[in-house]
Amino acid sequence: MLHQNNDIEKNTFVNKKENDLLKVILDVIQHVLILITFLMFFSFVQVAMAAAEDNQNALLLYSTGSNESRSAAMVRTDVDMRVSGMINHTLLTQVFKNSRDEWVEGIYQFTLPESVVVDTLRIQMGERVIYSEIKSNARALTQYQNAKKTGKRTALLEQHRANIFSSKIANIAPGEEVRIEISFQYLVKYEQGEFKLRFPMAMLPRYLLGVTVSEWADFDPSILNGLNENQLANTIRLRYPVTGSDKPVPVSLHIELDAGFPLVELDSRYHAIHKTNHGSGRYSIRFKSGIVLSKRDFELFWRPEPGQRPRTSVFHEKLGDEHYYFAMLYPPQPELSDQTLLNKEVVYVIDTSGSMAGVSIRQARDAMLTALDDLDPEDFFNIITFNTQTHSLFKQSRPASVLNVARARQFIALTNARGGTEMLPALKKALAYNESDARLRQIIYLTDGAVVNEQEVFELLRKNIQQNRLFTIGIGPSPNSYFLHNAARIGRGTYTYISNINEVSMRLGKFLKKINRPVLQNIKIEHLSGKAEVVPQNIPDLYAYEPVVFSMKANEPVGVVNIVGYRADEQWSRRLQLTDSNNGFGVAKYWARQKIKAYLDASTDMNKTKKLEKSITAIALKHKIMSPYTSLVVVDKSLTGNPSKRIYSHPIPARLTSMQNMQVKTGQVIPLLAKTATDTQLKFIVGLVSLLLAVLVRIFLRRRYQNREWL
Amino acid sequence: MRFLSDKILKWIVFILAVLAVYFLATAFYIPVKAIIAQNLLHSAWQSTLAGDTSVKPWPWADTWPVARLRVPTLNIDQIVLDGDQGSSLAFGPGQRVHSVNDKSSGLTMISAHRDTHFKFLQYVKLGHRIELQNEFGDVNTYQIEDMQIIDSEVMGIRAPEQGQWLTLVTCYPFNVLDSNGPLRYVVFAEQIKPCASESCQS
Repeated sequence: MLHQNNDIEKNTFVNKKENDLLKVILDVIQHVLILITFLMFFSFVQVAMAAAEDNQNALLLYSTGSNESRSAAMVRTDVDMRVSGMINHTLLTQVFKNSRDEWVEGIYQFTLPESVVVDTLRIQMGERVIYSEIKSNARALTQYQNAKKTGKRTALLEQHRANIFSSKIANIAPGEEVRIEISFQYLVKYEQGEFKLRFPMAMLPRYLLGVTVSEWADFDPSILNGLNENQLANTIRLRYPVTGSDKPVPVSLHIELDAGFPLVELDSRYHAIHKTNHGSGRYSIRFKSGIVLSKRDFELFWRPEPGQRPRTSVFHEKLGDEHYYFAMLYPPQPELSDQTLLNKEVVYVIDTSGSMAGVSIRQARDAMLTALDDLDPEDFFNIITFNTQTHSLFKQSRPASVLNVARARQFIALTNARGGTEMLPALKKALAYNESDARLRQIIYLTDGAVVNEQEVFELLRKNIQQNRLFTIGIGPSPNSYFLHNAARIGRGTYTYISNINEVSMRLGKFLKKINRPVLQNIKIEHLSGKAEVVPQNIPDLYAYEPVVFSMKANEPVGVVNIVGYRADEQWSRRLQLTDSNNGFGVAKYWARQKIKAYLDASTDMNKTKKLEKSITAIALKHKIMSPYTSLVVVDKSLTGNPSKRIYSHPIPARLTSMQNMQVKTGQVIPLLAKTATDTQLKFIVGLVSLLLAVLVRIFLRRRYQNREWL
Repeated sequence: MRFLSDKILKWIVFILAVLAVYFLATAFYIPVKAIIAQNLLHSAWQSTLAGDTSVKPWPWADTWPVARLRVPTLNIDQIVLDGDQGSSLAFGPGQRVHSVNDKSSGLTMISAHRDTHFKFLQYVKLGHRIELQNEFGDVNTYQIEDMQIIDSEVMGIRAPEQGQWLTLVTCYPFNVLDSNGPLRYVVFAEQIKPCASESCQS
């Protein structure tokens, strides 16, 4: 019995000894594993943190084969501008760095100034520079996708709205710096005798969905409807960088300004600048500090000398045999100032349906009250509100006398928003009477909702618009922009979109104030010598402090044109000498852009789209500018440059899966057959996981023994 | 795990440990083999240069060194083997030579594993020089003209119309577990000075 006991004791002792050895080994492995896990976790956290930091700027990178996106840091932005008169030609250079250790595709969305004409995209990756070509949208996309698939460097620039662009860049090497150069032009603004050049410094990407962009009124809205599912999905992805893009990017600036006349004042509103005067209105401008870190838009303004204020400014560009002109004529003072306004009649048509309830109607009321105060006592006015029913302030428009304005105020104060939207009767009423023929009739139509019977309304407008001007204002998240835009076109007015209902009062007030001051209507350009094509054909009415702006294409130099317009019931005209015009950069492109706009404006008829697309594509391709139907695609020049170097990748002909013959002919395709990866990494990971599991089960087992010993 | 007896658990530990040892050993074996083989190949290359042909680096080898590949900027010096079948690629980059239109131009295609010999391809840049020494001792210098990612199931490389070309091929992407993907990373380099031997002067 004792002996037996002894034996058992001995056995356990031996077992114990074995266990100790195993325990030591396992402990060591355990520590190593913990260390490895810890290191792996730590490096993961580091990578994640780096990724989070990278998201600050707007170039999104998609690594090939995955949807996971990280961004490349924008290193800097260079802005190079050449201003001739009112045309500003800009070369924007943005430098990004792909900080990942992977090849990636960059998708980048950005905002440019309004009514911009983009003509060139240039991309520099590593030591290679590639230039853009203008192609029709479909061709450009195919070319981009093919190039991307075969691993070529390629980029595509697409226009989504009048001022929203997206560019994609495929196959960016790890650690590579990418320079994106975009050249474009736009018009400098002229207000109250002052020229203003604005440039968005933050280049904040704006959303496509929800149409938060307000000033796209001069663009075809059909591209808005034309987004397919893919584009919409992309759009949602494009929204992503917005959240992180609050870090200012270093910007350097260089402007060569040729104002066309001597200046009395030239300065920047928000940034310190250094300017060099080259005489007769020519200046070089830079940031005083060289480079600026700023989120604030850059705004440069200048004023012509008041004494010899030039009435006109003409620029000329010769392209082949064609002569292009860009002309502006300032409202001659005091001949056409706000002291000599046209007599007018304003009819406000306001949507008071249920959806306008709350902030919208309150803001609309505020704006209306300001507008009423601004009316000239001799102006006529009326207010029509509509929901399920139509109400009007007066049966007929009445003068804006103190008494009538007071009644209007009362009417507005009592306006409440409820019920449905029946817009047709209201518009009919606004268009119906025509008692004051000498007056300029302005109909201002404000709504936030959908329109059901679009075609019926278009028909009504076409028949009855005559000399009326229709201005449409859409507010909130979902007005029918397509309808409002086209209605304004037919009505020779403008469409204003205000997305943020909290801005309605401010923006609507500003707009109403502007259209309260018409000075000249029915403006025409009569060219006395030679044949010429003027755009826009219908020059918009002129309001106080606005210049007449037009451009012209002719087959031979044009000597003189006559600008004719009407003030009240008298004719007004002015001769404009074109012979001593300055040489202007980008004048032809400006003309092309206006011509495209004219085409878009002329087509409310959807059946004509094929023909329209053809005409627009032809102009856009000729002048190498972007349009709703053309994109810029960047192709690797070295591939097309030297045919002898074309040994690159090529689709394999069907059934060619092996390659026996080592003698080949030019152009024959050689397949890549070698298997060039091993499963080392996979094996390593499987091995590590097995080891980890073994240790875990072993630890569990030991715990179980220990518990039993306690019992 | 209460229902599992100690005995079964002990067996599980044992099996897992064996698996771990097996996988880790093979995982280490591949790169180690690749490194050791290169050392053996360098001595076989010396005797090839001395005049022997088809020198087998070890008695049971079914391939032999045909070229020496150098990328000076990245300190790469590798012996290239004949053929790009799997049995060659375990030991070094494998070469296939295509002559186009009766040798008026040529395409030398060298393939290797992305996780061993051609791991460095992800670091090469446009303009880098690649030196390739042939069996006769002539050194030809190539300059990198382009890098492309190609889907090998649908795309191949077109035989060049002019010039002597070298392509370096490996799997893409570089750091993934999947070893059977169709994507290949191809570096295109064109010869920048004519080689000395008569065979390639045209």
